Amino acid sequence: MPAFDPLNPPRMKIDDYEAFGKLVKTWSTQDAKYLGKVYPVPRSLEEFKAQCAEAGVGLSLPDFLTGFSVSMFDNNTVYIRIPPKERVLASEGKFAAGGSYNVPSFYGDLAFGGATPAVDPADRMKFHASRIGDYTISYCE
Amino acid sequence: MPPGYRHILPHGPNLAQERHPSDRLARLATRISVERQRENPDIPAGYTYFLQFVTHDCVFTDIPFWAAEAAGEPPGNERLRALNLDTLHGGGPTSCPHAYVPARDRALMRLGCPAATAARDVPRISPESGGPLTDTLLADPRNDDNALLGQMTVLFHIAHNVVVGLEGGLFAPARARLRALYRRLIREDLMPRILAPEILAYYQGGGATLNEAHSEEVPIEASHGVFRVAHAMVRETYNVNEPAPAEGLPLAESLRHSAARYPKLLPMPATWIARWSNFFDGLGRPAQRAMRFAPCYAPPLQTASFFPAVDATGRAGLHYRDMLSAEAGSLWSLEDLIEDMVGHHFGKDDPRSKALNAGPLGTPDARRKAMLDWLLNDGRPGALDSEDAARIAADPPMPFWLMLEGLVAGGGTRLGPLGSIILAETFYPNLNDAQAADEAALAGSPLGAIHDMAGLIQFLAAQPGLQGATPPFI
Repeated sequence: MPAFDPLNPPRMKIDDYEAFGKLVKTWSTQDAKYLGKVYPVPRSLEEFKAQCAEAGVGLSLPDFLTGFSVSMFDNNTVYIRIPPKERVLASEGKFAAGGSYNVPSFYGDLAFGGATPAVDPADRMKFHASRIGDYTISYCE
Repeated sequence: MPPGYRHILPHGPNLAQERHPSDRLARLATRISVERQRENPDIPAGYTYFLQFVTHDCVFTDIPFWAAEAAGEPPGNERLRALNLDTLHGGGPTSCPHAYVPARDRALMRLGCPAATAARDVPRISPESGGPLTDTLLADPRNDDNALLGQMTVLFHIAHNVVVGLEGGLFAPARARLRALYRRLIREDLMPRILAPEILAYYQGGGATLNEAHSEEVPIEASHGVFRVAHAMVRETYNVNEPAPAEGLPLAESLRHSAARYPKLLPMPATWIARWSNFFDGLGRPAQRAMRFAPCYAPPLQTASFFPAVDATGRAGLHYRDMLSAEAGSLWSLEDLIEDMVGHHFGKDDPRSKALNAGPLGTPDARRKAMLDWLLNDGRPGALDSEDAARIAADPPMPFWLMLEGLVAGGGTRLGPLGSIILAETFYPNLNDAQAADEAALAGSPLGAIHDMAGLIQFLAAQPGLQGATPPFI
């Protein structure tokens, strides 16, 4: 795993956005219907990693990510998430150098160019979970 | 025993022994998932895919062991001649014509054209005009499992075509010559990198194997034990060619770029065409490394995206399937196997017995303690509870043990002694049987100067069409 480089900061990555989205839904609803059991909201990075492992999320964390914080949103508050300056500058530098904007592959598979002509409810549910998985860990940068 | 398989030792395991329920294996998979991969400084990343190619040349099972009972069909190994390069040639142009160019007696193997570059991809077609490339034109379509295994297979297609040119355009002598080289590469390049040194020395030095004769059957302790250990070697990201993203290309995309999974992503983008100096040393710069042998899999291999759940546990991932298949295969139990090898087959003064009885894992208690320490993991999240850990440590699924043995005995840079013995006992009867003929076939041929993968790649790079290729071949 690469060390922290402010101009090209490595990211937390997940390989199965749908599985992660189901885990997030479980934390939110405390309902076992998504993954077959209830997972408590994790209180530590190790607990988070273990839950991701059990849920088959395919998580990888750069070594420098050692802190852990969970934000439980409510319906009556405006939440503004401000990305770290280094990430904004790194993205600008990447695009200035001709880099492309990468979005997770499920967008292409389930929503945009790659979607099947008849999207069935199961696909919509899969997209919903995957989208939750994506925006739960992503910065807008 | 299913057809095409045998046990590593002549008589079978004690089937009365308790096997693990799937929910315990799912918890073992969770413990494996919290482990982090580390690079193996001793093995360049290309050997991961050479080894996968070689295992496909030993085993061809159309139904996994874990699925056989539900399907009502017995599994069987249909690969009748191990290490014969049948995973490349199939039965040849007559029985496998789709893999060959329909000209010049179909002596040449097909190559596919990736997007915007020369023919260096797996050949694929669409049954519909302009449709997605759903059909792989390989003798063994499993070699289109991922982009990098596809590249390894294409390397051998290119090699075959070059050798056809050396053999006056004839298929049969070219196949024989390339087979001889391929087995030499396994003997002289692959085995020395994978096997524990003392086990390598025994078998390379002409030590007797349990089966002296060439065997048509593969030990199930290899196919469902040590072969699975190679899954730990897979990286999460790869530098394939340049220019490339600093973080490399994700393994998940390698898995997606296959006709069976996402044909709409094909033809292959040029970004996935291998520059071989990224994968093998000796080509002008250090190659990226494979990952260490350890109970640890790259994150994409743990997900339902590529390996969906197959039973009521809901546990996804290749790591879970590997454990499940080993249990379904009724392999020898660890301690019974070591005891029988040392006590009845090798004798206590044999170097293999000494390797099994030496070092940090040289006794049953030491092995059990190593497993318990790893499984309990000081009570960290994801660790097994003491009952699960005790039961697994008493009779571990073979792939799990062989991964842990590699980690503890050799720091994860090579297989441990038992994994090395099982792999050697699988390969060396066939390698030894063919060695004299192979060396005779290579004598006097331009291939005779090649002794490793780097040598093969350099030889091919000198051929017209690959000099100055884009992306660079080396």
